Amino acid sequence: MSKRYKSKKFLAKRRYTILAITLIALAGGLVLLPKHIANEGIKPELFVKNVMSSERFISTDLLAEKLVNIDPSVLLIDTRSEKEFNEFALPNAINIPLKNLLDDDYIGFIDQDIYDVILYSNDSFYANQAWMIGNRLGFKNMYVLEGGLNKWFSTIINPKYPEETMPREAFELYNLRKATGMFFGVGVIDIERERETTKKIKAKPKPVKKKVTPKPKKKKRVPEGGC
Amino acid sequence: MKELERTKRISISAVLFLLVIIIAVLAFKQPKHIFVNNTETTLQKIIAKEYILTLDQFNAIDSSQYALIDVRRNFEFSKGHLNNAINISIHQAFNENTTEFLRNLKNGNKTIILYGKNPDEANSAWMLLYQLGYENVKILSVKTEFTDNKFQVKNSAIEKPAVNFAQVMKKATEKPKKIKVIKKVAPKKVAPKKVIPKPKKKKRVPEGGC
Repeated sequence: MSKRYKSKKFLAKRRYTILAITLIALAGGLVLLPKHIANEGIKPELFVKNVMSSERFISTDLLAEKLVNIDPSVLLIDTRSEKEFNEFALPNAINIPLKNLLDDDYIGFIDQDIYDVILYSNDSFYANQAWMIGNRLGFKNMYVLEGGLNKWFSTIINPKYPEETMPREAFELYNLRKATGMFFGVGVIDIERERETTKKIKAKPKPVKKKVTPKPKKKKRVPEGGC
Repeated sequence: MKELERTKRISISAVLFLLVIIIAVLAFKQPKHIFVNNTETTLQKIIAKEYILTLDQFNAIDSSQYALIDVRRNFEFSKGHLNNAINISIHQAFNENTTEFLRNLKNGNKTIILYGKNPDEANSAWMLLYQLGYENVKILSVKTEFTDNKFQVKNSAIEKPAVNFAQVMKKATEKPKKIKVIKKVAPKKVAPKKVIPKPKKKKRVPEGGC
């Protein structure tokens, strides 16, 4: 009985100390918990969903149409190296080499929701990677030019003439692409060629003067007979 | 009355305390899949370009060192695939079986090699796996196609310009310096026709008469 009483008294006396010790012990236990890794950007599940959808791809025809109409909402971004960009780039494109994508100077171009950012590279490999990084960080309005510059050149700049058996739409598309190509400066040479051919037709050989071989005149015959 | 108020206060604070603990425990619960590598390191890895394998490099590796994963759809896979390939298309990435399988590969220090219809398709899967923390993943840069009843694999260069863009544009847009003058075709000289004079009739002496 006295023992129980003693322990009760001890508890009553030191109850704050005991409480403090337990709390400290619990706090120490937190250290043992596994390290919490913060997830940067969107969740992996959402990322997979976004990656699987092909909504991000823009066809070369659509881009050409936007460029011809001088669509003010388009922001073209070239993800190739600076050297390649200086050699050739689409009109009004901005060069952000892939390695500089997350630099402070450039991130403002892709992290915004005013323009439709269209990324392109030689094919769609780099542009796609840039898109995926941007998508993970939650950037909006990003698109990828499907097939990149390779496809741009095989469709808009140098479209293939459809075969005879192809439907009418193929020919219409060809004509449209040819016309768009002219907007980007292609086809001047074709016009000249056309002029040449028309000249060719005009330059007909001069008609040769026919040699006239005079008909030998019949000699007057002495009237025959008569009185 | 006073006594009652005090107990109320105590109970309220006790409930609040419990709530805080519960929330803390719930918040700590890690999601199953998280991005381990951040975007900066991913970008560094992308630029280093060490993750791309050509067909020749791939053939040189011993098959016990890697696991080949086909990321195309199941239907495409069933038509034809590379030897020893396993089909895990990207929408199956978070299946439990897949996670376990990948984790085993990671622990076994095996290289994971991805391929798809084209390098782009494998690229998406690569980005996902790398960011999830699988470091030893590579892309096989090939184009695969099922044509003529045969599964065909071709090397496909990544980011290689098909033509010299600058040159093509220069050629296409430059104005021709001079319009080529086409030589007029000189008319062929027509050989003069031989005239065969009609033999003259001999004057006949007028016959008869009065």
